[in-house]
Amino acid sequence: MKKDSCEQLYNSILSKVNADSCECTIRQDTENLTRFANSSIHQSVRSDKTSIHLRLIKGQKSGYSSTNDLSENGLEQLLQSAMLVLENNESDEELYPLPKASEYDTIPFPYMDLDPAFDDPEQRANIVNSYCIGAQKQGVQAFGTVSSVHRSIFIANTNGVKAYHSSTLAETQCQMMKDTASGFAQSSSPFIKQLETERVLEESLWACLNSMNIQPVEAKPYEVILKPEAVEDILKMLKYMGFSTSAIHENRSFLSGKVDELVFDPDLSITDNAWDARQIPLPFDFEGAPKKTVPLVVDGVFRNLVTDAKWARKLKLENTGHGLPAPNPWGPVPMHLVLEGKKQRSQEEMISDCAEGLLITRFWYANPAHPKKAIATGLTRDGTFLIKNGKIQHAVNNLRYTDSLVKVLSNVLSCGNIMRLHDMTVTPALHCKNMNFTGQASS
Amino acid sequence: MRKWSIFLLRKGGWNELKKSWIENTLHQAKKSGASYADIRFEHSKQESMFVKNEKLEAMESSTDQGFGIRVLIEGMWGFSSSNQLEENSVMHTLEEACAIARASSKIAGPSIELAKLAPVKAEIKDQALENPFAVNANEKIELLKTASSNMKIHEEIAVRTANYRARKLSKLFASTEGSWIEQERTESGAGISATAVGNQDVQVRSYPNSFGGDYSTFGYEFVRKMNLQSHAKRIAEEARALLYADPCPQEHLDLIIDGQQLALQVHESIGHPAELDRVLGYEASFAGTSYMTPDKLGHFRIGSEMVNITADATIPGSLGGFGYDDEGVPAQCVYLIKNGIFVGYLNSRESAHHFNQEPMGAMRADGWSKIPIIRMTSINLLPGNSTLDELISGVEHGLFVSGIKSWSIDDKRLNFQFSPEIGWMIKNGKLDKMIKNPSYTGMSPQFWSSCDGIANKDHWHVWGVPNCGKGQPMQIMRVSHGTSPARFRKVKVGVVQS
Repeated sequence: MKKDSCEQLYNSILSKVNADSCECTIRQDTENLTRFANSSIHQSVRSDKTSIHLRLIKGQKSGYSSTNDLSENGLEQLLQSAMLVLENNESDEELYPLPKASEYDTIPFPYMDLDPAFDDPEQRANIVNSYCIGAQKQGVQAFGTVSSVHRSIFIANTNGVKAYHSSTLAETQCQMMKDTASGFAQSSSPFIKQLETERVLEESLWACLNSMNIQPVEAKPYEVILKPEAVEDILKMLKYMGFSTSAIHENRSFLSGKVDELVFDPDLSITDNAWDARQIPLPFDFEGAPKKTVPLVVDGVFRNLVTDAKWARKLKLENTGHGLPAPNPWGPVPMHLVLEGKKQRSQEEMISDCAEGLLITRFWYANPAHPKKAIATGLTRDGTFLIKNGKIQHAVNNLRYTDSLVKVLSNVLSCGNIMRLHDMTVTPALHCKNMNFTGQASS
Repeated sequence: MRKWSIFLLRKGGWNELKKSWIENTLHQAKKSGASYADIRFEHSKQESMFVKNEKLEAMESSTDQGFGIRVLIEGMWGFSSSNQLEENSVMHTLEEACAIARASSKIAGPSIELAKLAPVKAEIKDQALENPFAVNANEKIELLKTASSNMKIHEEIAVRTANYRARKLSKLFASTEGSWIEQERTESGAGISATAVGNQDVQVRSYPNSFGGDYSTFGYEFVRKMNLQSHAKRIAEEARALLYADPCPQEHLDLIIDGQQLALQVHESIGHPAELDRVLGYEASFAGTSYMTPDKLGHFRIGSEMVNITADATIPGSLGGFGYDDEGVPAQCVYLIKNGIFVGYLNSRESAHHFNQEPMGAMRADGWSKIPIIRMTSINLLPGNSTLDELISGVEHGLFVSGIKSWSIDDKRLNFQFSPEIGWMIKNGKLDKMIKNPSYTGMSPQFWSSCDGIANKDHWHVWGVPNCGKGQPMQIMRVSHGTSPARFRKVKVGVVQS
């Protein structure tokens, strides 16, 4: 949906609003996804959704409602519904005003794939075909996805905010399998033709072909080399367990009371940066407030929180533009994490540095076991290898870890020199001194 | 171009919704080369309320509507969906679905065929007695605020939450085989949670279940029966006591698992691996595969003699129940595990044909915008003969655990690790001291084979789980699990040490 059409829709809603202030969010998502298994396509889908989210404020009361019924009657019902919620709501002494109009930078580089191939199911099928041919040559089978998503968001309010952004994202994941052996790799880009499909094919095949003869190892603490996908899993788990501002404020997080304290390895820094060229940029949050770059962890020291309009007011801090769609009782959370380190090494160098340890492709089904202590549990998947004397020896069975992820990231020996983006998280590989494995899993 | 509102079109029933319009679309699908096609319209209305520390933090209503078209062309599926309810949008969406199927058919692969199904014309009515949307908003807010207030027993109960949600869903399914099925349902549920912070620890207790409570396809009468207010003080006291409780010992001991946690155990270690699309490898790169492979069907022992597990979409009020699935297959009750032996799968028409089975009705989509995939219905551990007291009295040294805190299971659904909210040691057949951070781990068949006691039907409850995730794009499904507490011998506990 173009900005003009959004403005037109907003103005028609605004003309019927009987409230002190109003915020309207219009979202359009077009999603294409092709799944393949056993080296053939088994599912290919497209969905096209447009929705309107309305927030009304009158006195100290607010009302929220949303719909994707864009008919005249549907919009009429949306207004009635939001007003009914407002009337039934309670007066809120802490109700904060909607954000004011504020300049936000436009994205300095193009992030829109306008090539017709972006939406073309044949383009996705061709990528799948390249994986299947590669798999067939090696006597294995290919599984995974190719997707392309186009999102537009328009946020306007009666305080003058009028923000619009549109972007595209293409992703592919490929898992190669034969019997109990498997390998995995993935790639993301705003442009479908810039997906690193050859690298994905090569890496997933390598891990699968080298996992044919799995030899069991004991569950115990190991030195680990985590590939970027595994580091992404850890970072997202830490975000979930501890980077929420409300969790930190309510003393529920492993970061509570630790501002300006060394929490992670001094080599590591974690930034929330929606402007990073390696990210899928977003210039404003879901209240239309400009996104600020927030250094969360600098040289291992926890420095800053993210805020939205409500929490900035509550904590008397600047609004960093991390509001989620309203109503949001959970508060702001960082959305565009970038983890970086200083002691950079290639994956080959990390392996040669390792006397004994594990090379881990990715983790699976991680969940917090004790959020306050950042303890989580999860399993290795799609290629876990034993390293001895600086060389990969053989593949091992999947293992379950149960450990404090803060502890794992407090003893970092080196960081990879290649950063990978997935799910709005940019991570390198990490070589960590110690990770505790507590059980054997299926291989 | 005229825009249609499903709400308006539904006045007087779905039959008013341009029957000819739908028939033309299906006719056009056949003309475009589809050997099979279906179209599904959905309209839903939702409301939710969330109270945190006695304050109404969020109240919202929403409406969602749209349609999805699925076609089978040259042996490949194509699916497209839209909420643009314009007359030409449906035809455009059909064209997209056809183009997707044709693009997929260019990659060599097995041609999809469907198990036979007789066409159905049916209308399924709502089971709710009390329409939750008609209950005064202030009454619902007051219920949540009172429950929150009743948890305020000490300053260490730092976060007190109470939430309620309801949804009214109407669906129309029509296929080129002549099926025309209209279904309506109401879903409602609620829950409370107390988070204690102190003694350098954080502990949570919930009622009636963790992660949002319990849900059903009954009306607001289901929420009233929960009696949230009267359980609030107890869970707050338990959450606080957990801050100062002893940690879980590390050993192998006898374990009794309460209904909520056992529902999760059934879900993860029996329900998911029984999905036939996982067995076919369709979920391999994401959700994983399954240890319940076809070569084991009919003879592999997964549990002890007393373990009987059904997939039953016919249980009245169950969140995983329905009249017909999203392929038009009628709701059924089938055994997955009978007397401990693996005997059945959750299937689709496609996978049923592949394995020469009868379709049992497990294909569901998370709304109009998603293609149906195999989902759990209500997966139930059938009750045994014991009382809970009898189960406990049969344990000399053991642990009783309740509530759900954390879970993890491998991609074949074999190795699992669960952390319930709370535990009590059992000593000489009696509950003893409270234990914090209980955890247990095992391998699915060995674990279920160690089951030697299941509580009777008086303890049996169907737990509504509104948040089962599977598929790409991710689909969140409403499922349910009937369970009563059960006893397992010599289980490894205390894996998570804080």
